[in-house]
Amino acid sequence: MYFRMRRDARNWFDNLEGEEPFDTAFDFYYLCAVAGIASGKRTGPPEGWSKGAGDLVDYFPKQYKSRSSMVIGLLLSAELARLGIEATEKEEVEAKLNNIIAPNSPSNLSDAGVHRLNEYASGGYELLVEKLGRKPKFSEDFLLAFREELASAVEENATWQ
Amino acid sequence: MQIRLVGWESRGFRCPDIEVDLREGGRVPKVSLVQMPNGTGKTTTLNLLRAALTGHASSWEPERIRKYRKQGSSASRGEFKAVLLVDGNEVTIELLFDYENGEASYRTSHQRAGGLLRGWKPPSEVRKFLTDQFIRLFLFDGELAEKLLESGEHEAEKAIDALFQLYIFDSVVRKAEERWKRQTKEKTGKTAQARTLRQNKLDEIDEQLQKMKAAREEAEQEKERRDREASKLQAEINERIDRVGQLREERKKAEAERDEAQEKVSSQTQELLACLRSPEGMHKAFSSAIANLKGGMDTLKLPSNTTKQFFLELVEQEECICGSELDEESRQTILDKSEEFLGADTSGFVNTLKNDIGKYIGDEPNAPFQEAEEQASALTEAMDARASAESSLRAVHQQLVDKGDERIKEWESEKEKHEKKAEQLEGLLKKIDSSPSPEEAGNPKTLCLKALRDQKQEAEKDLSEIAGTLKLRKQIDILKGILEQAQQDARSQLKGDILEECRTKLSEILSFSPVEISEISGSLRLKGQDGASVGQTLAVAYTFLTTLLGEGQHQFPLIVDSPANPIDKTVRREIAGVIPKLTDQFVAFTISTERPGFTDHLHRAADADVRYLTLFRKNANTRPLVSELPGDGVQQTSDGILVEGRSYFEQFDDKKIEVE
Repeated sequence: MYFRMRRDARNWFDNLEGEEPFDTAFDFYYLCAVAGIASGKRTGPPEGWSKGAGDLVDYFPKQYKSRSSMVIGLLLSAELARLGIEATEKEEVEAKLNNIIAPNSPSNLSDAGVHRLNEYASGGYELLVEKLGRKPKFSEDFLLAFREELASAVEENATWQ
Repeated sequence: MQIRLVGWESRGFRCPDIEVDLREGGRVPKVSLVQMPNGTGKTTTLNLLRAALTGHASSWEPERIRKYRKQGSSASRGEFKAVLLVDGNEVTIELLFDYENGEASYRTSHQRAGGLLRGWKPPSEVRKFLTDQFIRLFLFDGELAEKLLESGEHEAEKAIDALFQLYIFDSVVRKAEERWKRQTKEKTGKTAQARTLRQNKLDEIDEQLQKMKAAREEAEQEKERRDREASKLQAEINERIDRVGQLREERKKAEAERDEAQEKVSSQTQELLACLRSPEGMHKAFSSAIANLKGGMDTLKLPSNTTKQFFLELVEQEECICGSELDEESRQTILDKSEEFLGADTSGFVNTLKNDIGKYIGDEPNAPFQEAEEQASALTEAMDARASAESSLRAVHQQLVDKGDERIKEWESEKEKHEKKAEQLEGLLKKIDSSPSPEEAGNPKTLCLKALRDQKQEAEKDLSEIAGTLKLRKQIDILKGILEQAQQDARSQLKGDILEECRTKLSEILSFSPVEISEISGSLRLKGQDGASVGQTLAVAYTFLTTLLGEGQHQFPLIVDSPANPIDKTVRREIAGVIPKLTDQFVAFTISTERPGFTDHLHRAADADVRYLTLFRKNANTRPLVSELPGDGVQQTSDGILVEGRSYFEQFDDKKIEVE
């Protein structure tokens, strides 16, 4: 299954796309997904996934390959926390692992896992638009602002306390 | 094919009535110099020559035609005759102006015609060279010289295309497309309505595609122009600042600091993103949660040694590991329970996950976040330093403004306007050149060129399918691909050859003020310099055009108005020495101030194969000159005098022409 990004999200980043240091569109997907995980916000495009989003890739690009397990680890942690599952509850943890992970897929994520991450990316984009407003113009300004908003989102989300 | 200009005759126009024969001893010399003082009608003569050679005057407006009537004359007609030699055969083109009716017409005569033909009808083999585009290459236009070097213009490439007829590739493609359109139209297809719908869709997409191609070219040229203007203004600002010695040093220092600060911002941004690409670097809470996940799995002893595979293999056995017999019910129970265990592959991944967590977070869960914090701080500092450096640079400019230098302020404001517009155009070009998003892929009104090309291809395929011309479409697409490649290869090869040749010649011509053409990309790009002096521009233009004309299978004259006027003596000498090597027939319209340092060198370089003609008006102002005419070699008409010979040419002094 493909990592999918909302079309409006892709447009929002178009001033930065192709500009240093962003050398893959996956960067924007990832940043949105992390913002979504931080705020706990999961959504979908208003017009539905088939019309409102486009495919990126079905694997972690080379810039993310070495850290892909950490991204999956973060997703797992977020999901367990969302469901109120302690990391020591064996059956529930195993069930979640079976649900999220698919080692035979190019991304090591199951369809359910990829879909969940897509939902966080969608929610994260909405958060960024709400907090930052206009389309980002310069990479350095955006990254600094992103970190600030991420920190606020984590602080406001009881899951991370 | 060899084309030579033999001469011309002019009656009833603004310029003097005269017959000019460039031949001497029955042959056309290598060089012909026609000296005409300013106001004698050089421009008129050249315009008429151009009109005669291209055949375009028949479409001129009456107003334009009447402007050529001799001043103060009531003559109803003007007649201009241009005589060429094409491979040794004479071709005469007569241009007739009817001032009463405001019309122009032509008559042509040549050997094959067997007499005088009505209309503009030179022999077919020479006609393709007598186009506007082509004629301006050898009937030299000073404006062309500048455009050949002007970035954003494409005259140099157009010249190559014109001479080597590279447009033929486009013509073949067009013919093939016309054939496909005709065949598609003729076939009734599955339903006429369906075919019409698809044709309309194709037309809509094609219209948008052509529109966006034109918009792109326009935007690119405009952006280049704006960038050029902004650079020019910046250069002027810098020059002005540099005139104040101390400020020059301050400016250089501030610019260097600003550039260094920008470099630092770029590299710090890169570093920060690298940190953020690791989730554990994003926030302490994330690295803690991931570390906890590992801790939990360690506590649970996950992954366990027992995997789902064990149970899947167990149900295949007759007996359970405890020894009891397995029946359907017990097998099903085992299978149901096996779902609670991880598969072997998943267990493998969980091990990898735990290893990575141990590797990247380990005993210091806050370390990655700390590093990101440091990078963010460093980036903020770098941005502050950049802002400070920019502020210092602005302060240097402001110093001049404060000293009352309003010019700097105006230039800054103008430069900002150009930069803003260039930025907008950059945005537009980005949209046009972008990879199509899935949304744009199906939008016939999209700005994205690639999306439109893809859509067009699909639409053509759809139309071909329904019209049963799919095979033809595929064949045409293959042909187009081959022709486009061939055209590109041809253009590239030709550019390479011409560039080499030009470089060699330029190094000889401009040994004192060397200039090198680095590439031919639309225009001629000079190595290490944005522009060129007037002399360099002319030298580069002559060299390029004569090289170009010489590369083809054909020989053309080079006809130039004021070849040496804007050039200083050193360059004149060099150009004069090389011109006879660049072309087999050089015809120049000169004024007396061009003689020093030019005509005597030209005479030597052409081995004295030069025809000298001096033409001036016959009127009250030129009476002092009439009294000094030589005994022979003089042609006089009611309003013009033409004198042959070097001696008269060299001593002709147009200052003797009285000014009213």
